[in-house]
Amino acid sequence: MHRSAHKTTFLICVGILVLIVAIHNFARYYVAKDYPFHVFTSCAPFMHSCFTADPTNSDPTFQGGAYEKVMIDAAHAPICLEEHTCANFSCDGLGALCQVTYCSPDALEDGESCTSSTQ
Amino acid sequence: MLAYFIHAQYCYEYLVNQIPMGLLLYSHLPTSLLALAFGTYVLFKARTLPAFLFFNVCLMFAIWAAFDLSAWFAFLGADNVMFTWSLLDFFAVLMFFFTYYFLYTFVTGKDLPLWQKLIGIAILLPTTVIAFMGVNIPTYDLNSCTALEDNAYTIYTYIAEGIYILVTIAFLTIEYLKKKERTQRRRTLLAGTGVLIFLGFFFSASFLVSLYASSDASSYVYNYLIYGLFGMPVFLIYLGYLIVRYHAFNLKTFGVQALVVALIAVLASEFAFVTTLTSRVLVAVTLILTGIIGTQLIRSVKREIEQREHIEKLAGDLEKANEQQIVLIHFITHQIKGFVTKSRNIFSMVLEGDFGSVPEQMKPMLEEGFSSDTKGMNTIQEILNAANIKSGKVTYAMAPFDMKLFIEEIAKELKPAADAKGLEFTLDLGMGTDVVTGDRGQLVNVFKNLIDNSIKYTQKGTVTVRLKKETGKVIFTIEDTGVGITPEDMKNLFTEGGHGKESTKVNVESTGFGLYIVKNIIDAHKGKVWAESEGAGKGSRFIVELPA
Repeated sequence: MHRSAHKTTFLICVGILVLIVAIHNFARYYVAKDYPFHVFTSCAPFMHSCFTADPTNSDPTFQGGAYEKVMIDAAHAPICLEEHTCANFSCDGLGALCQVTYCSPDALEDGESCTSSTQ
Repeated sequence: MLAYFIHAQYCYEYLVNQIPMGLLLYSHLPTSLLALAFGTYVLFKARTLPAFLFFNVCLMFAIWAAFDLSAWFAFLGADNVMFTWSLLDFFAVLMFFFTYYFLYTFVTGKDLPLWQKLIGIAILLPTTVIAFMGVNIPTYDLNSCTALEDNAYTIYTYIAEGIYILVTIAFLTIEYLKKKERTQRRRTLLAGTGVLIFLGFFFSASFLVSLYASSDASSYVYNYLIYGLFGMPVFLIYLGYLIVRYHAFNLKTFGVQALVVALIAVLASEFAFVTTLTSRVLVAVTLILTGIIGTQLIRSVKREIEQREHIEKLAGDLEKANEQQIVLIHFITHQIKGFVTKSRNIFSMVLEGDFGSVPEQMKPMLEEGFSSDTKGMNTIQEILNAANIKSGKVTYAMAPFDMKLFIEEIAKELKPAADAKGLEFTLDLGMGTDVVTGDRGQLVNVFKNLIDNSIKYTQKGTVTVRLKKETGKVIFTIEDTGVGITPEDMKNLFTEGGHGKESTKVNVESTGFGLYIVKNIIDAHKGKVWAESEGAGKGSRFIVELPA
């Protein structure tokens, strides 16, 4: 095969590779929204065991009060989650991948502690 | 205007005080626009493989910078952040690959061998698969508005980039040592240094962030991450210098053009930083003025360069024409000399009685013919000598000889001509010997010419030849009471074809090359020759100094 044909073929293959990856990712993230959100929402300590964080070792924006941890796929996430305005969040009707984690000794991370639960 | 782009109000409010927006815009937008503009210009003008690959590097960098900026500006929305962030490592590694590919073709002038292309792709493939599957950023953290990275996968990006950098260093070392010519070595070094600065800054910035992102030094490394992009303008400066100095990509751009464009780009990028209306107006005014003045400057410099090139071309054409003229003169004079020599020989043979005795009434005619042909031959020889001297074809065989005996011989030969005109011909050559080193054959032309001229241009009176020795030199002087030399004629005396007005009245057959030949021969002997005269009709004095 002629050298210039090699060169052109190679560059075209690289170009096709880039397009495939870009188009696939575009479809995945923009169209299908096929990726999970991880977010903290407000938690009612009298109803559930909630997480609280040490003020000296946390971000007050989303760890200011009692919170629960939510994992949900972006396609089913309600807008209040992105805006951090959800109250009494529940996974009902939000798809099988939605999961709410309340505070427990297994779920604790550095600087976190659990509130007492009345449930 | 910014409000139009805010799709996640929470993220905007969360990030606006944390990230240096101005610095982000200043480091990302102008650098990538500059790179794209430079790359497009080179590709448009050069249309070669290195130019195309360089454009690719700039394109990958611009895409990476746009995606990185987008990832920083999480208020554009989670989808946007995830999409752009997922492709960052992919485009970064691709950019490293194309940078190495570009450098290879730029330095060697050849395409990258297939085996290297395959290895390059093999290094790229894991990053491609990771980006395709999205395993490098498994989750989007809505709390901090960032994609959470899986370090197990992102570490591979640094390994790949590190490999490309090491391969680049190895390649440059080999190529630098292979090249023998200084210009080629310098070109390789410049291109290589520019590339390594660019890749090094880029790699170190992202690598340091990955190491220290969770530490107390995180704010410093995040700022360095931003500054890491300035490796690209440095790379462009190196390439700009290569284009201007070494006509890289076969582009004929000159320094002023590159400087003005760079100045405009830097000024324009100020808009990313300045916020007040007054500052923006000032920047805009400065930009417009720089554009106008810069354009005029480029035009005038371009005109000067074109004129200089035109003059150089004309000089080249003139030199060629001169060479052709000399060849023509040689050809013509040789041909004519041949005819004249033949004719002179015939006259000589007839006069010597080779064809029997010559009638007395014929003798004056034959002698006149012989004399005329002899003068003709001498004239032709003089023209030939001048042409040889002008073309630098004369070589001198230097040897020591006694100047006194030398002048005596010449004077003895020419004295009859002086006696025939009734001139008093005096020799004052001093005592002892005066040894000089020179080419006797060429110097005969000098002193014969000077003495002969003196006799020719003196109607009555005296012709005196003197020889004097001083420390380190021998001085020859010939003084006459002849037509003299006007100040006007003095200027053209020793020039090619230089005639004096009075001399042409006396000697219409003068070629004007005699004294030109004398000067050139004396100059070649590291001596000096000059003339002195009180003016027309007041005689003249010719002095020759030769090193002893």
